[in-house]
Amino acid sequence: MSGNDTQTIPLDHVGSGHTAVIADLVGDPIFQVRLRNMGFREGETVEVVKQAPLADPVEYSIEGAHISLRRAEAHHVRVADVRPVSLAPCRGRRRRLRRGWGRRGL
Amino acid sequence: MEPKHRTIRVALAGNPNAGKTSIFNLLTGLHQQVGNWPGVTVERKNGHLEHGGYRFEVVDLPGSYSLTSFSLEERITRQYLMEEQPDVVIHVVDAANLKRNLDLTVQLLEMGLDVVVDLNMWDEFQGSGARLDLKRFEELLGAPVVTTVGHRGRGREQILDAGVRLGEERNARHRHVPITLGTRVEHLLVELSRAIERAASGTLPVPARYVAAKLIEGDADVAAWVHNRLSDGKTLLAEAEASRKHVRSVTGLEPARVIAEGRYGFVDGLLRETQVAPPLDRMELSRQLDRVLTHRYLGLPIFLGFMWLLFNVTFTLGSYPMTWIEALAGWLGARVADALPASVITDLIVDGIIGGVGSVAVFLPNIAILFLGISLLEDSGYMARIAFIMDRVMHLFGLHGKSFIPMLMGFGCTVPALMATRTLESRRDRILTALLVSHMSCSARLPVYVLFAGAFFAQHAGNVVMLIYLLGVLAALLLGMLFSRTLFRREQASFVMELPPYRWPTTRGLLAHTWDRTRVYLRKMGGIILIASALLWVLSNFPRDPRLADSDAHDPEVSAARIEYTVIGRVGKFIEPAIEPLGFDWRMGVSLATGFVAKEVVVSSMGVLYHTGENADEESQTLRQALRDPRYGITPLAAFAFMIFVLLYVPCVVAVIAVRREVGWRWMVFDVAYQVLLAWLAAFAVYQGGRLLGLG
Repeated sequence: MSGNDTQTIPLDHVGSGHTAVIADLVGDPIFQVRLRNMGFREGETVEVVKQAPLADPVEYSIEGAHISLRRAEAHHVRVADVRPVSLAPCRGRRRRLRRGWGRRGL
Repeated sequence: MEPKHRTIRVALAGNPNAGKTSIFNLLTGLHQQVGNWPGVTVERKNGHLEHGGYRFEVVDLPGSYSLTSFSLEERITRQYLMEEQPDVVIHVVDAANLKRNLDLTVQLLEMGLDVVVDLNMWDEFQGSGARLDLKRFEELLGAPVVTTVGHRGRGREQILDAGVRLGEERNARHRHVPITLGTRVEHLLVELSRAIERAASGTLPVPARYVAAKLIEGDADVAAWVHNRLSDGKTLLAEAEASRKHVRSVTGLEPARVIAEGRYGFVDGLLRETQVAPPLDRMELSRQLDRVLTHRYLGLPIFLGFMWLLFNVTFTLGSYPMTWIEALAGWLGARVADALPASVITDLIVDGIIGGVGSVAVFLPNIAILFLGISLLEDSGYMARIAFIMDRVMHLFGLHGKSFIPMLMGFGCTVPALMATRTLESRRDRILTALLVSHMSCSARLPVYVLFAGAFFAQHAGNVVMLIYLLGVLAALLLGMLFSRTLFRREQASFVMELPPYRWPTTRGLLAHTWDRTRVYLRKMGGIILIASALLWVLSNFPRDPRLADSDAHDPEVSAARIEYTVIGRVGKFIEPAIEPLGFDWRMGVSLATGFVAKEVVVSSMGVLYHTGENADEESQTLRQALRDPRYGITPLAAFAFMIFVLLYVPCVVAVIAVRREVGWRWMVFDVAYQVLLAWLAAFAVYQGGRLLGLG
């Protein structure tokens, strides 16, 4: 389920209830600054908390703060090492692991 | 080296969610002035206070995460700090989110400013089980640190004492611990800053090291400054460019990123040394609440329920004090009319000024209740969830999720809706929302629809009114798409937003926020609206037809002839050729012109002009019959076009003034112009198109 460690995927492809490690930010440098200011920095672990009722935007947890991004914005964040929250280091157990990370962005 | 500054100029800086406003209110109390930053529509707040024999002058800088030149808020903040050189900067930090907030602290220190670091929401930090070695933290950062709980009113003295100490010691020492930005750039920084120092020979307003860092980052504003102000500008920029290349070739990364990582590295190190126990997840409770509140299926209905409640409380509960205010204005008018001799001046005071201001004052309860509700949503943290839930929909309009509240309020009254656009953070979203809000058909327009739909579409009146409302939303949707792709093409707004933890709002915070917003409305009523209503009264009463001077004012024929003779009446006649293609006669033109005062007036003007007496309302059967009278020649198609026109043109003069207040003169002019044009075009298309199709 969580293979492919060497390759990065866009954050918007990671499903709820998973964590991933930020590998790279791409695209508009101004937007990259904004993301870094909000805590999306290379090497940090981000958890996909949930998607909004209408499927966009998506809520992420990073560095103890909860940040929401539109899918198109999360696409600029490239992550690796995707795994279900229950298998992630040092986090509480969560039940919902059903959704795979193959969910397609918009 | 001055021994004492009797006045200490303080600037408040901090991230948008750090509680800066509550600290500002805590410091200055009621001694505040609200204005705009020069040339832009970002709110600027000033305040002052006395403490320990000093006068503090406080300016609240726009909330910013960083000091880059990317966003308007950050540019304003940076420019102010560089040019105004405040004596003390108080950096309000969300203590429970240290890592992210300290990035700005580091940048403030790099600018060579005297910073007091205010760890706000300290109770939450401690409550989360986190511990910080404050003494060591202060030492390593090289800046005084205080702890506060702004929304509970704790920590005022500590901030001010630290401010006094820092203000007194200013220039007396060189505290600034140089913040090293990592081995990859450190030697380049040192070299470049030496060169800058040589070129500037002591005239720099900020440390040379800061300028060097900005040049290596590739900051265009600072580069332009160096180019224009320093003798050796060009050489320095070339040197900076060489350094940038070097960084790129060694690290394979953008220099801006390397410098940013240097700062994060410093913050990480600082926290590793001083944070004895890291905070537990303070979002745990919020997560549980959000299980329900932003639930996939429940989230939307719950949210709609809250909105229904807010809308109803605002406009239903608000209608009680509204009738009191109306009664009060009526009573006051009657007393004044009794006390003064009957004259034109008395009429002006009673009908023009008291009546005019009274008709605006009636919105005050609505506005106060709405803002109380909005403050509740904001202070509790639910506002961010609204944006989260509704963003998908609002994004279609080219808007931000938070624009939902102003748009919804627009169905009640455009004026409070415009004022609610302040909750939006980016300038683009504020302006765009302000431009679109008036197409959410306000409740004052309903009487016009009811009158016309009742008169011409009696069988389907409800459906026709509904259709008009939907057309308004459709217009906003299309215009939103159009404007965001044209006027705001270059200002693509990002959504990136923090979902703060849920908090119990404090009474103190709620009252402060509500008052903050309501008083702007109050002050406006005393000024512009007073003048505008007097002026409009004059226009709709003068000149007077001398032949009618002695006639019976209660005769419908006479009142109609009178209004025809006034400036507004003439305007109506004058524009007749322009509205003829829409199927309107001059009477409708006059009604539309009086509709600038307020939409309710359209119906009462029609009552006068169609000879049914001044007290006509939308349910009046005689007025409905009069409108249908073939001698006026209004077809159902023209009636529909008229409703479209009323839907789309300027809501009322108060709303126009509110637009100016919120987004400035130029946008106000644009707003009025495009709305009138759009209303005309749409009514034209409906009327002429309908005729082509054989409907009229």
